[in-house]
Amino acid sequence: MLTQDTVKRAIEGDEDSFLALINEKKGSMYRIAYSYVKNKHDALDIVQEAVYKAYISVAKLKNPENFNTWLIRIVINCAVDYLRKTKKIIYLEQENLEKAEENKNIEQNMDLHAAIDNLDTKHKAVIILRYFEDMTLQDIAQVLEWPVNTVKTYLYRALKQLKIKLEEVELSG
Amino acid sequence: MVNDNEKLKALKEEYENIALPPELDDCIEKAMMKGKIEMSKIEIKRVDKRSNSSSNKWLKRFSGVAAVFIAFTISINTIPSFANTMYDVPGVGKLVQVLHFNRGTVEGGTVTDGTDVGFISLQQAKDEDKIIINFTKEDMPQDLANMYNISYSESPDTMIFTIPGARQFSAEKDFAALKKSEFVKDVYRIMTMDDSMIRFAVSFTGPVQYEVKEFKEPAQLVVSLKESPDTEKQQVYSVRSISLPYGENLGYMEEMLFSQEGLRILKDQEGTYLVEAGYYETEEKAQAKLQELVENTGLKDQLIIEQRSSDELPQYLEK
Repeated sequence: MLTQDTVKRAIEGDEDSFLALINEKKGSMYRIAYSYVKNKHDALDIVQEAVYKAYISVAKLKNPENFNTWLIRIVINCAVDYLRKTKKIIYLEQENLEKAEENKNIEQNMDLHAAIDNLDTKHKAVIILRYFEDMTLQDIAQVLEWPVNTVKTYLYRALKQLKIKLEEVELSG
Repeated sequence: MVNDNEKLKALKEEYENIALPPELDDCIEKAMMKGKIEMSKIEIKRVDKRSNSSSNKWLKRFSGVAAVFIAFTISINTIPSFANTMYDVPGVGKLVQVLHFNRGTVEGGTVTDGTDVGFISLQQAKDEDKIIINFTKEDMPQDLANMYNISYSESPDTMIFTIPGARQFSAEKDFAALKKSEFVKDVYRIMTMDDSMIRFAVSFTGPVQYEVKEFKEPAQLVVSLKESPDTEKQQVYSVRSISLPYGENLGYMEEMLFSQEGLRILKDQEGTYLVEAGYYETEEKAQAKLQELVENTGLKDQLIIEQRSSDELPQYLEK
């Protein structure tokens, strides 16, 4: 586990500390980015942009204890920017389709999968952070810079939307 | 509800199984390099601003530049990877060669294509200024210096850099910063008909002592400038073209005079350009050259002789 001292050193400009922090969070950064764009190439672009932005602004980070939520916020903002700029059609990479096919639960998962993909960026962020990254509501509130109650509202609405979509799939299937 | 929770769990598992590609580390490294370059640019601007705001100039310059040096000396001895980070500091890489040349031309570097003369910075010390030229490609610093050709000529004292294989010139924005050096009168880009070549000229306020060093990893050309003992001014007779705006005509003119040894493009006092075939100590020699050129090229109305002092920039002249 990396300490607050590491963060402090990174804020003061120590590069090795910064790299250590990024390495600790690179999995989360990449997976969050990937969840938005669904392909390796774009996800890497987003991570690169996020690391770059973090690097040039880490000196301005006031509270070391907020490093992780700050970093995740940058990734989400970069991902949303990226989607807005490129307006790319989101597609699944072939290799992932193949992997998904191996999954026994594919049918039921694909429904929810599609439903999550259909969420708008804010609702999607809440679902990813809460259920995939296991973050607390307080931390999510910090990432998104919303009040906790707003996070709750979004989470509730996102879940409701997912269920509705699931039902629709079930009805039509 | 329970069912949905299980589905979410399955999805989470899938999320966690998103494989991290091997390129991820490389991509993080690139991002940090890009960040370093950006930060070094900001740092240069800050130092420039400080050293500029008059009153306690020396002290301010000391606190800026020397502090960087002290910090740098400590860091480079303690953190090996730090050496790669200071692109604005000259000579952090490995020395490839020291180029000695007393008037004339030197060449070096490696054949490349599509590189960018990324940024140029100025570093001022007590009685020596350094111009640091950095090569990049897609914003990434290059390991090896681009091919380059540097020529120094007098009357007026000018250093012309020719960089074949470079297609971009991001450093053009740094020209203003270079003019802060007391040795530098002007820095300007020279047009070329070749879109894979970058040329620019630094004209000096007077004769300078100079030395050029080439470094690799990262690629840098570092030009050190020192005051030169004053030499006597002399009158020269320049065989040159009329003044032309920056553009194709300048390129055509240069091509017409291509075989001339002392050929160079200069900026005149009005900010337009001219092609100079050469300059001579006496008017007779200049006349003879002019005759020869007019006969060979037929450029009767475009070539003229200008008399000027060796420390003057050429004048704006039209036929």
